[in-house]
Amino acid sequence: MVEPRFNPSHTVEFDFERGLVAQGPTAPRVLLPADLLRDLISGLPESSRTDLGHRMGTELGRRVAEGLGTRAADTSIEGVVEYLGGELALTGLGSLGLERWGRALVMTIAGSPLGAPGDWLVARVVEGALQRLFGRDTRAVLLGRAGAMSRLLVVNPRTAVRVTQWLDEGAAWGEVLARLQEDSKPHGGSR
Amino acid sequence: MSVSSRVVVLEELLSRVRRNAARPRRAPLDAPTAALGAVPAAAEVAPLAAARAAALAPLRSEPPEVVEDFDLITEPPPRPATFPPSPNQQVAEDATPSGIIALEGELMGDADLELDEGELIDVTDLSPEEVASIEAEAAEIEVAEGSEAEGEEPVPSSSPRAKITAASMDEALASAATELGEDLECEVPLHTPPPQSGRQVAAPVHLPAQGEPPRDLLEVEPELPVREFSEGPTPEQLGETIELDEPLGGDLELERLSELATSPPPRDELEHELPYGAPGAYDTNLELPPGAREDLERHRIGDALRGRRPEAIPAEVVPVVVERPPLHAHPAEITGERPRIAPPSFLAALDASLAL
Repeated sequence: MVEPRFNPSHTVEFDFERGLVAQGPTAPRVLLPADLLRDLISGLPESSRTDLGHRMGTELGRRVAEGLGTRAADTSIEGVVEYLGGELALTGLGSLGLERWGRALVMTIAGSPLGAPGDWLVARVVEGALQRLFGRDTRAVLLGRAGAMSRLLVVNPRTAVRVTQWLDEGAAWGEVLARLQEDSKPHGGSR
Repeated sequence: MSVSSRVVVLEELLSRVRRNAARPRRAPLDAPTAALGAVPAAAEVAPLAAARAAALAPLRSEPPEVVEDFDLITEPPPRPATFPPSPNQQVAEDATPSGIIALEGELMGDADLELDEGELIDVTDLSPEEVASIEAEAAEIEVAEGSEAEGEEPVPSSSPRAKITAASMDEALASAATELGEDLECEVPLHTPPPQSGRQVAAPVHLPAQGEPPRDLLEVEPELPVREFSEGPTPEQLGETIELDEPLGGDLELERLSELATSPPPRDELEHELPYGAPGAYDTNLELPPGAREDLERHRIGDALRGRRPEAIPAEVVPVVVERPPLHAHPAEITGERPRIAPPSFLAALDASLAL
């Protein structure tokens, strides 16, 4: 099956007469400084921030679904990464990548202008997009940062609680992934 | 001496010969051997000078009064070296063997030296060196007398050469050859010839005999005596001899030079000797190994995975990296260059991760 390539041509439209910036047929956008948005999000309560991120992710998922059509469920990993990452890049939140450590699915965000304080918002955006695309309730747990790149482990909500507990206990993100592999085996695990 | 001056001298000599011929002659000697025996008598005063005068007189057709005017001890008689031989003399020379010179009848010198016409003097007793020295001295005196007698200023050595008044080139060459032959026979320059003087006969050079050390031009007389080499220093050179005490203790041993020399380090078997040539030059004929490109790609991917692998993850857990391809990259390059991962769909991977 030949998957369509992401084409960002003429995605963002600048209407100079009316002074509007639009991205497709959706609502107009506002270009804001990244640090201003980061400070604005920092001042919101957690529920509001979570809702803000999920709405942004839902919007991204919708555009990706429009690009992939009805074949989103059959789309390969590369295709999803290409489309979802393309839309995330058009938003200006960084470059999306994906790593598979065994069965664990880890998404990477590199070069986010919001920095480490914005990783939490990006994680909510990814959750909203996956919810919109595949109808799955997911949690993106921040494993850590390596330079300008942050890693988000995509797991179910229960596993996310455990992973967060391990990380709070001081476990490295590699150790967390190793524990997940051990716990997922049929003969063991405290799952 | 130029040709014109020679002609003048010849004319004067001819006139003097004629005057001498007109004078009354003395009684000749009885026998030719008496003339030869008279030479030792004159030699009591100056044997060599007298012998020179006796030997040179018939050669140069010297008038007798000229011989009388000179002191035989200090000054030899002048010798007109450039005079051409008279016809009679030429005949005499042709008729006598080498070294035997016929005496002319015009000789009017001293009684002891006077010889009859046709008498012969054997000059082979004189060595060639003596003959050459006699001729040189006679030439000097002749030149000095000629310049004084004629009252002419000596021609400067740097003066231009006489013009050749020949009708044709052949005559000019013939005359020049004749003059050159005369010069070669009679004249030897005593100093360095000027540039315009043409070819000259080089002055005789004294060559050191075999075994004689070459003499330096800047050497100052008198020469230092040659020191005799001795096998050892002289007592004066040694001076006072001080005997050293015996060493008090401690063994001083010198290491052998062979032990001090460090052997070269052992050469590694895998070491490759660098090729000779200009540094930085590479062989353009080198080709890549057949699997170099694949190995390089595999090495690059392995490095990328090792850089991302945490230490705590076991080795069996191999990450599968999926990155968003560049937007403007050529699809064929991506599929051809990078190993294709054939996982299930993203949804399957998501479900697997959610199952953890």
